Parts: sequence; structure tokens; C-alpha cells
Amino acid sequence: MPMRGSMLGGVSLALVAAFLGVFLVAPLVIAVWAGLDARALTEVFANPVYRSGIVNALTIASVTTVIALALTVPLAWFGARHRFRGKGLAEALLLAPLILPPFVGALGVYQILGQYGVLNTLLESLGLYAVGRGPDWLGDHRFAVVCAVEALGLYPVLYLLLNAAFAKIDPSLLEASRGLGASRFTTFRRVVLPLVRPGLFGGAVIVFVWSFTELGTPLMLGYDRVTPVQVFAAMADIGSNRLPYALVVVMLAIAMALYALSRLLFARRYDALAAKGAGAGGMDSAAKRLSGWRAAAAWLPYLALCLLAMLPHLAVLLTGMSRDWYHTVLPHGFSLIHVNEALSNENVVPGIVNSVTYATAATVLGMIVGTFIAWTCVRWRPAGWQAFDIAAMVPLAVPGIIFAFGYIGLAYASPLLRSWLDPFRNPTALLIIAYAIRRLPHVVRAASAGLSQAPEVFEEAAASLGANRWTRLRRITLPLIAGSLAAGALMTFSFSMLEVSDSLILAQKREFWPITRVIYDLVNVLGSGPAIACAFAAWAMLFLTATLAAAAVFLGRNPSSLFRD
Amino acid sequence: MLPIAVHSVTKAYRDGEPVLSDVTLDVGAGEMFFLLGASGCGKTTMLRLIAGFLTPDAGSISFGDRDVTHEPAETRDIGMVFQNYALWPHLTVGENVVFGLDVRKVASVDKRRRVEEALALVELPGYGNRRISELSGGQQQRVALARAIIVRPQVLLLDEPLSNLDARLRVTMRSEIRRVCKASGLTAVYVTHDQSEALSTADRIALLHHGTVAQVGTPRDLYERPASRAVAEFVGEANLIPASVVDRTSVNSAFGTLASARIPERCPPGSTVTVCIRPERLRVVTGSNASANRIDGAIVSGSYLGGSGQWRVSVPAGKGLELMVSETCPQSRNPGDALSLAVPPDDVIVLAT
Repeated sequence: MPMRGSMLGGVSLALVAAFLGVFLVAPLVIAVWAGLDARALTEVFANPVYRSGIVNALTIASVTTVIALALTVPLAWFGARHRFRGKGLAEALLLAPLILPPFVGALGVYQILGQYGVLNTLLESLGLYAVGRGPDWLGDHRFAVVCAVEALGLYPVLYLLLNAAFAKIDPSLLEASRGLGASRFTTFRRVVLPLVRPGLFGGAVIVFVWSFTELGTPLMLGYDRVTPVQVFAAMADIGSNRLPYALVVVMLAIAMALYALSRLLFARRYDALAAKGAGAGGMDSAAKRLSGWRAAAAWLPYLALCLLAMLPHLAVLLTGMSRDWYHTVLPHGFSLIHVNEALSNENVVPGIVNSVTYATAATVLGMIVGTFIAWTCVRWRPAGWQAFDIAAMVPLAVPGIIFAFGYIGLAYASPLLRSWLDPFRNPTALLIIAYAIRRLPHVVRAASAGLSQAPEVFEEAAASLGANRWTRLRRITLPLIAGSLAAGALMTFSFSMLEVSDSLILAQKREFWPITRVIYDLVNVLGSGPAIACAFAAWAMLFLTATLAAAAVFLGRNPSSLFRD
Repeated sequence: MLPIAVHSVTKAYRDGEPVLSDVTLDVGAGEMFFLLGASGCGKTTMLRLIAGFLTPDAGSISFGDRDVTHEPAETRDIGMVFQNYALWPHLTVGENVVFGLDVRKVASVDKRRRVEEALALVELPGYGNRRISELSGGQQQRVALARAIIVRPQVLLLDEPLSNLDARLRVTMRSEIRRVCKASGLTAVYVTHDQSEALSTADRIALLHHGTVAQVGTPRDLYERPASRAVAEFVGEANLIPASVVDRTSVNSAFGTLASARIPERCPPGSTVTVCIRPERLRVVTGSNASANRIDGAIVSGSYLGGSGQWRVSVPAGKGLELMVSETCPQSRNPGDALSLAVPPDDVIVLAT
């Protein structure tokens, strides 16, 4: 109702449309256009190194997805069917990897799986291997390690989707099946799985595409025969070589084909089942109550999985706070030496300052653009609003590395843009925009959810009582959507702080490095470099956890609800 | 307390399809005026035009002498009760009710007193500190009413205020709403699709049909003197029988010639008309004594409702046409039983369309 057809509305709409056009659509078009080069594409498929990179990326993605499914399907189903004391907490713990970047976790993997790491020391002390003769996990099984680390980082996405899908099943459907004589297993296979198939498949596609395009984990674990790392490596001669773009196009094509497939297969029911929230009388009402030792036993799988997923990050924390940790199960004595070294490192403090600056600016930018888009799509609905709705969701589907490449292409598209955006000169503007665009889907979803909880009739009720536009906004609409807006802002901020793809690719000059780029650099410093990186990463994780905990307290809800859309 | 005049209002959707065409209504000061009609007839659009949430494409709306056609809702001095109440969930009952007084910058001593008065009027005294989510549907409805009337609006607008309540509560609440409106002397416009709500509560009713006014009148006018087939069909039960006019006192219907005292002037002999006979006006007659407008038939099915019996009667002369008959103090009857009916010429209503 308000603003419809007014000048202010039209101008804002044009500005936001232009912003999305330049920084969301154009980078993709440019990346694709640059990549659609016959010679470069031919080389991608002719060169065995790149060919195997694609095959490896696809294999990593497949294995990761299978592991994630195996971890989450049984646990999510168990959770849907049972209630026990502290289940909310157990489920929240399970989601810990969402805030623990796999990029950082990879640092800890070295400590655990190194030739003289925790695992081998443990195996030696059990007498399974002679001292120094333990298997070279990272050398011989690097591929498996990459898959495992990625699966442990990504399973929460699948768990959340499955959890929501299972909770929405009407328990009488299961009773009907059991009543007709079907066993528990048959019921699960013939009734439950078909019902959750859209959620299951949708979640699996997300995990697949995510791991297919993941840069941070293989890069940190030194697995370089995989497309995203090859793209990153080819950055050096980006000016003269079309090859990285061609690789990006191939990745994008594969990701899009998968999304299209999932839409095609589940076009009808996907949206209905992706809707939020279990209706009254959902699965929860029929869950079986566990008490005593059964409840304690129910905690075990949650704790085990959570611990396994957090092990690398715990190792990072311990490495950062220990004096020395070599060939022992636990570190030799604790000290703050690395913590202090980290703080005195010439890149660390500027890195923090840079990241805070970028993340803050990205949050402000993202909130303005995202809230406006949500408002346009939920309330205003001018002609063509659907384009906004679709555009705002694009960053969910397009891997970060592809966007990062698009931005490079964009910066070089014209002299004017180059003078403003050239990442090799000053990447600040580009990084801020990239972070904001990356988290735009979450902001839009959060703000839309808030706005749909505050339907227009609430404003009309206030108007009928004589409240003007400003009073309506201040007393009715803002209080109702404040929680959702805060959630969107905190998510943008905390994820921007540890963003990987854009940070590694766009921040080329040392003085502009954000936290992640500094960590990546420290790891490659000989001597105490990795330990300092760990100390620094530990700081970053603590900071992130504190931010999200503050958000949870502030919003008065379970932190995991921040990640649900 | 102001009269409302809606003059030749036209409103179309954004795609150009008309919702209301040339609607004129006059609501008297202090009157309880109903907008009745099937969903999609334009009644809610009419109410939103009166409220100021919409602006008419043509025509004008005035409250008393004041033309409000282009005024926004917030300056019209209205109170509105919404279909889902639209109570703000982040505020308590008291905060919801006091909102209109806050906006009007009423002194805080007066505010407290008036909130208590308003809550007492809707029989929720002492509920000020409750959260909206703690209230039942009926209580929420009362809070919505209190919030709308506390500002002593010139006009009270109610948009299907009872549609979310169960049947028993609806009956209680409609007389409550009437009591409160009459006690406060409010001019009220009430939208509903429930004809029994309208018949029992209204001073006058406008029946809207496809965006036009089919008839305006008292509940008795609409039921006993429907202006058209659409009105007869929507208000109460009706047997509608195709017929043609024979002369000033009789029509020729599928059931043979029927004497009627209700043939409009504008229906000349030979014109095609519809005969409307209310089910309760069909009397069951016994024996073979001849009475006017006698119809012989047999019961097809029936239902016993305690105070009355509803019978579906097939009439052989009517070639498959059936009549609905409502018999007070019903006899025990079974399908297949013969039934003879008669209807006084005064109750054979002839409708031009």
C-alpha cells in the first residue's frame, strides 16, 4: 500500500535493480562469456590434468554426499521418532560445523593425521605400528581425508532439511502402514522415504554442489588435482589466460544441471515441503519418550558425531594454545606463546581490522538491499517483482568461486570499473559487495519471514486507528520484524568474517588481506607458521561463537534457528 | 455518529476486471448496516473503500458533509474490526486497546480509565496485562472490538468479524456486537456472507451481487419481498420454479397454473418469470378438499430437525422438479408417502428474472 507508484519507491527500485544487475547478474554473465572460449574449453577436456581435476571433484562430491547421507538419515529419523531430556541441545551441538569453517578445520587435520600426529601416536602406543612406521594418512589417503573433512563440515545442511521434512510427516501415515501389517523397515522404505524424497534430494544436491566447488578444504589439505584448486592456481596469469574461466564455466554447467534435475524431478512438491515449520500434530506429537539410561544412550550418537566433526577444530584450538605438539596424543604443556606471536604478526592485526571493516560494511549493504528486496517481494509486488525474488536466491546456487571469478572479470570489463574495482589495486569495494551478495539470500529470507509474520493487515489496523506511516513503522512493523532482521545481519557479519573463496581470490594485495587470507599465508610459513595460524584461527572461531551466542541470547532462541530459512 | 453516503462508486482490479460497478449506498447515522453477499461479490472491497485502504476509480464517499474519497484511512476517524482481528502479537491486550488513544495523544489518566471502560464494555475487565496468544478466539474478537470502539470513531467497520468462531459463539457474539454498537450509538458497516447473521443483526442490509447492489432493505424486505432471483436465492431457502405470466393473478408453471397475488407490474402476460415459494409457506393439506394452488406429490427424502421437518417432494406434474417443504410440528413421514401441498396466492412470489 505505501509507496506504491511513488517517486521514492521507483527510484529505490531502479537503484537496487541496477545494483543486482551489475554485481549479481553481470559477474555471472562475464564469467560465462569469458569461459565460452572454444580453445580454452577444448584444453579443459583435452588436458588430462584438468580432466582428472573434474573427475576428482565429481568423485569427492559423490563420496562426500554419500557419507553425509549415511551420517544424517538414521540420526534425523531417530530424532524425529524419539524425545529425551536435552534433545534440543544435542541437536544444536550437531550443527556446530555450521559455524566452524572447514577451511580452519583443515589446519587441525594435519595435527591429527600427520605422520607423527595424534592418530599414529595412539596406534603406536596400542602396539599396532612400530614407532615412526604409522601409515602416512595425508600422503596415501589424501583423497579420503578431503572427503571425510568435507562431509563432516557439510552434514548439518542435510540434517536440518531432513529434520524439517521428517517433522512434517503426519504420524497417522506411519500408523496406517503398520496397521496394514508392514514392518518398521518396510514402512520407512515405502512410506517415509518417498515422503521426504524432495527434501532428501534437495539437501543432497546442495551438499554435492557445495563439495564439488569447495576450494578451502582441498587447498588447505594440499590436494591440488581438483578443479577449484586448479582454478585458484591459474589465477596468477588470469590476464592472459582464459583457462580458469573455462573451468568455472564447466563447474557452473554441472551445478546448474543438477539443480535443474532436482527441480524437474520434484517441481510440484518441492516448494510445499520446503515450507517452514511443522504443523500442529506433526511427528513430534507421536515421538516416543526415552528416560533413564535410554535417554543417556540416545545422547551417544549425537555426541560422537559432534565430537568427530569438531575434532579438527579442537586440534586447532589446542595447537594454538600449546607450546609444542609433536608425536604425542595431547600437546606438551600449554602456553600463550603462539597466541602472542599471532597478535604480534605483522599481518594478523591488519587482517582482523580488514575483516571487521569488510564484514561490517557488507552487513550494512546486505541489510539495505536485502530488506528492500524482501519488502518489494512480500508487500509491494510491482510488475516483475519475481525477477527480484529469483535473483536474490541465485547466490545460494552459484558457488562462491564462480562469483569471485565473475568479479575479476567485471573489474576488467571497462576502464571505469577498473579504476574503481581493480582487486589488484584495492579490493575493498569488491570484497564488501561480494560478501554482501554472497549472504543476500539469507538476509532476504530472514526479512521476508519477518514481513510475512507481520502481515499488512497489522499496519492497516494501526492506520484505521489514526497512526501515520512513521508511527506504523516504529510501533508495529519494526518491532515485529526486528528479530528476523537481526538474525539476517548477524549471519551476514559472522559468515563474512571467515569467508574463503572471495577472500582468497579477490584479496591479492597484502595490506588488504582479510583473516582467511592471512591464515592461508601463515600455514605456508615454515617453522611455527602453522601453529600461529592455529592460534589465529582459534581466536577467530571464539569470536564467531561469541557473536552467534550473543545473537541467540539477543533473539531468545536456539542458535540453530538462525540457520533455518 | 455520522451518516455515510457512497455515491456511484466503481472499482476495478489491477487487471481491469470490475469489482464494483456504480454502487450507491446511504447508511443512516447510528444505523447498523450490513453488506451481504457471496464471496467475490465485492463486499469486502466496498468496506475497504469506506475505510480508506482503497480509493475508488470513480464516484465518491462522504461521512456526513465531509467528502473522504481521497483521504487515507488514518485521517478518516474510523474504527475497524478485521476478519482475523489483526491484534498485534508483540503487544498486550491493554497495549493493543490503548493504541488509538496513544495516537490521539490522550492524557494518561484518561487513557487508563477508558481502557478499563472499553474492556468492561466487551466483558473482559482486568484482561489488560494478558498476552494476545493467551486469549481464546472469542476473547480476541472482543479485544478487537474494544480496540476499534475505544477511539469513539465516527464509523465502525466490521469485516466478517465472526467468521473464525464456532457456531454457538457466533450467535452470542452477534447480539453482543449489536448491543455494544447501539450502546455507543455508532454508525456501523458490517460485512458478512452469513445471511442468518445479517437477518438477525442488521437494521438494513445491502445485498451485493457481482459488484452491484441487488437490493437494499430491512431483513424482512429481503426475505419476504426479494427484488430478484439472486436475492431470493441468497437470503433463506427458496423453491424457484420457471413459469410464464398468464394474467394479473396467475402464472403457468411446471406444476400447472398457480394463483399469485405478487405479480409485478412490469411483467406483462406471456413474459417468462421465476416463481419463488419459501419452503415454510407450503402447507401440508389432508383429504381431497380442493384448496387454492394444490400440488400433489410424494416424499423423496426427508430430515427430521426437531422443531420442523424438511421434506424433498417430487411432483409428477413437474417432470422431475422437486420442492423443498418445511413442516412445523412434523408428522412421522417416510420416503414414498404421498403428500399434498397448498400455498396461498400471497406467498407465490413472482420475480421478473
